[in-house]
Amino acid sequence: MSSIDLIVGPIHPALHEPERFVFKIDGEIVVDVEPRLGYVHRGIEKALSERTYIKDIYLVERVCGICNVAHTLTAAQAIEQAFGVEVPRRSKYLRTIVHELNRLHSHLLILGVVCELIGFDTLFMLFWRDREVIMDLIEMITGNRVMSAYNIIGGVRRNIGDFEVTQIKGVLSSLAKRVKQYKKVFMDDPTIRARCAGVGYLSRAKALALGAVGPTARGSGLELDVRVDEPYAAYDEVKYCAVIYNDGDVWARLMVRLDELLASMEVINECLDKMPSGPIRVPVPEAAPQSAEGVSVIEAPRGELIHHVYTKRDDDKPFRYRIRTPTYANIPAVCEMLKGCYIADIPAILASIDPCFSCTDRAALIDTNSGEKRIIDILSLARRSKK
Amino acid sequence: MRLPSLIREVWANLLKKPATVKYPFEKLPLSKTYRGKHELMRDRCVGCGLCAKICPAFAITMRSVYGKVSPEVDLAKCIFCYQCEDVCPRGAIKRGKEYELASWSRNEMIVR
Repeated sequence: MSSIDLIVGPIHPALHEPERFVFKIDGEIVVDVEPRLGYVHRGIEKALSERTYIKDIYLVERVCGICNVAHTLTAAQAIEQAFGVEVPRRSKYLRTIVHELNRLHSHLLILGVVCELIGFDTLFMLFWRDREVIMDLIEMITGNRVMSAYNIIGGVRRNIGDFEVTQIKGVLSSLAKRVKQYKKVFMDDPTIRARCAGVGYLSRAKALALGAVGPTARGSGLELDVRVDEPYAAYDEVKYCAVIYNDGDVWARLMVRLDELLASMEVINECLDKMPSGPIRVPVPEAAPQSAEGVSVIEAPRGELIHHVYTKRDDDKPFRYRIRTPTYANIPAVCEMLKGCYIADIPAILASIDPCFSCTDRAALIDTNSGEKRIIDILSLARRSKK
Repeated sequence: MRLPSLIREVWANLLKKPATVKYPFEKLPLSKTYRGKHELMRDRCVGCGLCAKICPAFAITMRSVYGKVSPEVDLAKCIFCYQCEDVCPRGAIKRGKEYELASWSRNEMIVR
């Protein structure tokens, strides 16, 4: 049986970021897939160990624009652990609130993108309209729509008052109603069911074996949520239980995100009610007081995010910094999902893991199932395009 | 065949005002904490250079004008984190509200 290679990317209308996938196709069905990562490698880990800790916070914020709060929160926690600093309780609550707002806007964004990719433009517009009110909330609290620059080593940079609390609660209560309506649409709309249900199946065993994280793993029935397993910030004091769906298809992964929207809103409301008064940041020395190591794991919108830092005594730069992002962990899983699907379903499946390739790029990846690696030079690509 | 449940929302939106604004003519209100173009108050500045030292984007340089050393912010490099405002001992850097910063030349991008 001969198969044809279908090359998607690095620059392709179906992908939002430069990444190349070689699909081996048989008719309309994908037999095998070979990803090639590394087009947006920026050498951030090396750059981090050449800058001071304060500058590092702003550099990790730019690893990924959408989950920027997740990155700064993880970096701040890792560096605080290495420094031996305990942050005030109020700042932990503020961090949780902004982190969850960040998750809300990230999930609304990807839900809209998936709706657009499956050809449901109305819902795409509605999701993005609702995302705007969250962006306004983030701007009100942090001072900017996207790049929040909110977390810092030793606490947070801005406080919130009574006015902000009432604003957030008002917006969230009206948004919750709309999200519930969208959930109903996702449950029974024939277009969405036809394009998402049963597409891109990933079994629980495969998800575990391939190390899937975040909503991808939870959509396959894996109970993996850092907020529950290893509570950080204020999650040990608020009630939260992980959202699990057992279907393992694109639809389940989207439903996990929709339910997480509602769960996040409850977390924010609970944090606003319970928030203690007090200082929001503590002074932290510029240089590391000890040679130590700090690890921080959090649940970013796309899954488990790990920052690992080694400090050197009396040095204001980290000795080594390591970041492990969720999309990188999900790439083997998405390759498994794509096998056996139709070409038309490729964009929806790719988007269902909420890929963030600028987070991902740091090494080449070889598909372990096929065990082979093929390099196509630019000339053969050109020849192919002329055929 | 059932009517999709979204159809009511679609009809309601037809009768509503658009959710978007006509940008150059109409502008959205900015939040109080918005971080826009810098406002430098040279009379307060003591020329200590802390802002230039801390800037994560290397956007601030200390320049001597008529014998007085004061910061210059290159908006082309600036990431608008306002760490400079945090460290300034005299409060000489203030957050401005201006956000339309496009320009034809690099010289115009420098706040003096």
